[in-house]
Amino acid sequence: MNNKNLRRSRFSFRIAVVAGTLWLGGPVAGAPDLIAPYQPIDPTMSDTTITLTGHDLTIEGLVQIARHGAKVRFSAEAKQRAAEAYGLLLQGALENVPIYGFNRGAGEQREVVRFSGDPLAPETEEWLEGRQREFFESGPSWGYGPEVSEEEIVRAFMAARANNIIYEPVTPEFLDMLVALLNRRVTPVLQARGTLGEADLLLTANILGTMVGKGEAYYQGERLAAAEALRRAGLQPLDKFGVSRGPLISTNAYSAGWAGLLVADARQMLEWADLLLAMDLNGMNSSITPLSLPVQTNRPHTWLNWDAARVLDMLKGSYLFDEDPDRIIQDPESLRASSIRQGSAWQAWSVLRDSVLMQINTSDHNPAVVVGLKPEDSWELATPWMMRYYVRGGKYSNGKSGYIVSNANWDPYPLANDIEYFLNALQNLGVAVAQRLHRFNNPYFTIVTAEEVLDKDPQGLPSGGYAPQGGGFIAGGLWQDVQNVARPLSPEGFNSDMNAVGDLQAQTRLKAHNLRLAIDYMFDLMGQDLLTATFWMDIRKIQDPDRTFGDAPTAAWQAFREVVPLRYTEKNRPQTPIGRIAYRFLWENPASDFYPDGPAMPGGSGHIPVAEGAIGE
Amino acid sequence: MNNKNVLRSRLSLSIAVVAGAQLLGIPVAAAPYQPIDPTMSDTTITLNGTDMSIQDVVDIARHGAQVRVADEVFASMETNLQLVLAGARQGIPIYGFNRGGGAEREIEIFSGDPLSEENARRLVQLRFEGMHLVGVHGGGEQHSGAGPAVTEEEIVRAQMAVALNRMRYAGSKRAPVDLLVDMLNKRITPVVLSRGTDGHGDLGQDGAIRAALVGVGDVHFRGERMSAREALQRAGSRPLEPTVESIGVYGGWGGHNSYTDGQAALLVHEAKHLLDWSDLVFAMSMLGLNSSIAPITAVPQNGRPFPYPNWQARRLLNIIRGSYLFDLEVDSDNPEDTHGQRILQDPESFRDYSWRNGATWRAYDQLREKVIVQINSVTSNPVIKAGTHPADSWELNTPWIRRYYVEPSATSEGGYILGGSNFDNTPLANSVEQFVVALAQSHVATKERVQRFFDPFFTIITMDDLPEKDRGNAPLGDGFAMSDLTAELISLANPVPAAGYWTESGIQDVQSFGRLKVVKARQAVDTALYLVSNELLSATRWMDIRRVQSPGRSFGAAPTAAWQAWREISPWQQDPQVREQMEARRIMLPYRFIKDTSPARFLGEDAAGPDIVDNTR
Repeated sequence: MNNKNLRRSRFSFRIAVVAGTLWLGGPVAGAPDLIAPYQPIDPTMSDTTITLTGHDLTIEGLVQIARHGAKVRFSAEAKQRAAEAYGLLLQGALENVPIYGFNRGAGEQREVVRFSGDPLAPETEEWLEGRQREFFESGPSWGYGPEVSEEEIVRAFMAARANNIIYEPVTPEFLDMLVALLNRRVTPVLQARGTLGEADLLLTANILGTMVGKGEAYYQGERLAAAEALRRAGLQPLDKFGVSRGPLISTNAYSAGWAGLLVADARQMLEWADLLLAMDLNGMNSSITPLSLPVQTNRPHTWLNWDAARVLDMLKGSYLFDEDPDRIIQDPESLRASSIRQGSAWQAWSVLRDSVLMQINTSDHNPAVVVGLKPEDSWELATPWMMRYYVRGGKYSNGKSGYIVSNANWDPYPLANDIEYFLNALQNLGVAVAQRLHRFNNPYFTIVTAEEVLDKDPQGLPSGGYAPQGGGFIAGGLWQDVQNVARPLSPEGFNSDMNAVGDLQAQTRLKAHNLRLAIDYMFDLMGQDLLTATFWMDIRKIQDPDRTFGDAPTAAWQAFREVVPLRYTEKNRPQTPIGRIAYRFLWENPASDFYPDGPAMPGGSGHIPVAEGAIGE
Repeated sequence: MNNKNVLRSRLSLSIAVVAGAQLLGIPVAAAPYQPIDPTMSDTTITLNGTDMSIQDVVDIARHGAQVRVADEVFASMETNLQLVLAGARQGIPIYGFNRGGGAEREIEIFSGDPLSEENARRLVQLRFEGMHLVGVHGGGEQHSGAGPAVTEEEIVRAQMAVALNRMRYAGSKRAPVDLLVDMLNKRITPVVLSRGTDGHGDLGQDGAIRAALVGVGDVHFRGERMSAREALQRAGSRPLEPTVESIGVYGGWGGHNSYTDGQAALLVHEAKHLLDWSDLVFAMSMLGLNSSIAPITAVPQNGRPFPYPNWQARRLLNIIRGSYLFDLEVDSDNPEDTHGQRILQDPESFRDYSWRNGATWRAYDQLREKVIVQINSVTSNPVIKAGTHPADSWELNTPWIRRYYVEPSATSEGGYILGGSNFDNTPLANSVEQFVVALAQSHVATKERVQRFFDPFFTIITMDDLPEKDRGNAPLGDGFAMSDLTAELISLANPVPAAGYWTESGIQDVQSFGRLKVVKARQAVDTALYLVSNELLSATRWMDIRRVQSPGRSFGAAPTAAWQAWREISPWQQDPQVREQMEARRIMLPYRFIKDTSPARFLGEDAAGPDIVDNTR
């Protein structure tokens, strides 16, 4: 993965988080319902094309499409898969198989017969098409504001949806339009709220509205009437709508695509947590025994051992491995425990990563439309009840058979749990960061005080003073921010319709929102840690100029000192909180720039499952 | 396994729950001591430090199985001890031996040969006095724990069993191990304070066990409270003596975290019991509702290949195999309609089951694996690793780590003695909270399902549709009670806030709070069991209604057996006077039924839990 291409555009994240935090103040009539300036992407990868197959979209691929403007195309097999599902849907209705949300109603109307017999009979087809057109045209009115202010989130939604819609009965024209919107950067205005996080149903309608030129959309970052955006992009409004609404909107792709971006951000956060720990250990003149092989082999938790090996490897070549009569035998617990907590958070991250990969590469639609599955494939399929949902095959399905079966595949578990699992692990890592940076104030641990060393600074007292350490009230307050968003939501069973058909909700959108805030607050907190670590690396270097810190900590320390020098003159002293500079430095300079390799991650780069019926396997 | 052995002594758990409530600050009357019922005292389990299972802990702790320690453990302890002695002779600083512990980590306690007459006398005396001071930490702060005392003998026995299993990794004479074996086998169970550990070591609780070894403090001897000295005497055992051969000069010990980890093992066992019953009762609810089984069939499940939810769905299908849910439902008024009396799609609380509970099974499995690693590895500090050499890993051959290398000598093969933080219980603690969050997410649906039985929109019929003579009066789930219990479950799922409290001069500045997390989790499991017991009432009531509605209906082997077993206690049609007498115990009866009955009795081959390999763990 090319980190330079994957890093975030400058400052965009901060503004978005402010927007996320302040859902206050209503929109001004007639103005965009945005509470932060719209953040278009910087399409640095627009010359790259990613092929969507429905079963091998990676986190990196998702980020490239959503954040860096990579283009997409469907594999021929993927388009064929969707076309065959569409044919089976028509054939199923023709055979009078009861199909949820098609020839039967949806939600509490699941028993209501909407039509019977051939869906392409002229009267039925006209009625279905009319209903579809009405729904597309009403698209912009669904959901609830404010609008999503970051183009990358909307594109992540569209990319995740494009990848897994190939399992659903949709028309080739619809697929082409979805790809065209992504590739020409026609990005619909998307309402941020109005989903229970268990199928982002009606937010998806915002995208449908753009497809038919209704509402507003951004064309290459410029807000226009959707019809004008399509015109400028050289696109005609969609005029073939297919016969079924459900496959177009029943998806968790908004939450799942967003979670995919957050997995990438969380990785950058954890990589920095590891590198900052190595820098802190250098700054503290720590005893690194807790990371060593004998200690680790006696407690064989895979991810803990991996993280310890990683931090140890970063430190290779550091003075911490040399004799030092003044070094203490044992650090404060926060420094000793950090790699344990980081390893534990990495494990939770890997669980979340795999859940996201599963979610964006499989069908989350109800009903499941599976071409080719036969009664003999599993014992229950041959039972009388399941045979009710067996489509024998005929003219609309090219003779192919299959099943169309009601389900709850849109219930986004374990993903919804895994976001909170990671959040909780993050909280338990965050407390170690918050504590460890404060221990540098105590000569019980540092042996010397910074003042004692700086009094002997060979360069003399700088006219503008020294760059500060992190900590104090600011770090304490930032830690409170992390705590505030890391708590799980209460699981609930709201009866969202009259008859309580939908009696559970997963709150996935809100969980993703909290995760996003937590990651960003961790960057704030780690910015304080960066100030402290680099300050104390300087102290240790002044103490003994021969000291070395290991390649990666040295490179990160020196890169930061380019931005924030240790010694200020009166002229170059920053007029802004220096913690903010550190925060930006961490976002804009991935730790992997300084430490690109290291021990292999347990389990490799993530497991992408292959769903039944995925073509090409 | 003999089911009788698995049955808890009647009412003990309700008392345990009261104790749990007490721990959480809910004012209740003090609970009486709950001795175990040693039904497995004719079974002996050999502990070797590497393959202790959850069932081993349960059999020893709860059912009084006898223990013996493998010879290899004694050999390992002696090797470790000789390494520590040789290390001290070679002048290597050893935390908690020739250096102090906790805040006194830099203070030299002695130098030279620990077995020299003067050193040995002083060290033995220090050890002896230290074991009198409950939980004293290396001459620093004292950690005695906080009341109330643990009321369940099984908790302390679980703690002792885990501590004993970990002795393999300690350097110790064999006398303490022999006496600990004696205490377990003769049921000398120390009085341990239930609270007052930060989850990093459980020092106060561990100290209570160590005190009993020297005849200090109170214990329960076969359930009767008395002084440790008297109990040892009555049991024909002798306390450790302040000699080199008995108590020894070095305090290697396996008790760190054993209080928390032992309870975590009980938690895993109880969680399996709960999840098994949940699956069985949910299957009975499906039979009661006349559910559509489509969501758990191969069609939608294959399209979303999450291993645990797929396993969950398959398990449910197996449980209801042979039931009427696979047959067509013909409406006698409208024989053409094979759809008949069964609805196309259940409420979400039914349809979502495989996703939410599958996610809970996965969290259970991850917790189980963590606990197994935890009880079979070392969590004490320092780590003693005989047989490791500088050539084993690059960092071991650096000057700083070489400081801790014990050169081979006449008495020791050499190795490392290293400070670590292996007692940081965060990986386990995170997994405990991950499990409880998942549990709340799945079991919030239990209350919803019971409510859906009141709505003929889902049930199609009501009791009033049955012939009057066939109507029953067996109780159904209590909505008010379930609301209260669901709220309790949700509150228990809120994680313990991550915090960093300063103790021991800041050496300890983060805590994992494992004890509190495990106590909350065990209570959450128990609360969920109450919820499931209420669902059992509604499920069985509706199984009867379905049977009256159509006497030919079958339910599958396991649900039928469980339904009939419950009907022996609570008949479908019951004499009103008898029923009235039962009413007073109504809530407790179903709870006791599922608490005391192993689900394996009904599940047969389906009783095994998931066996899924996740290569990232």
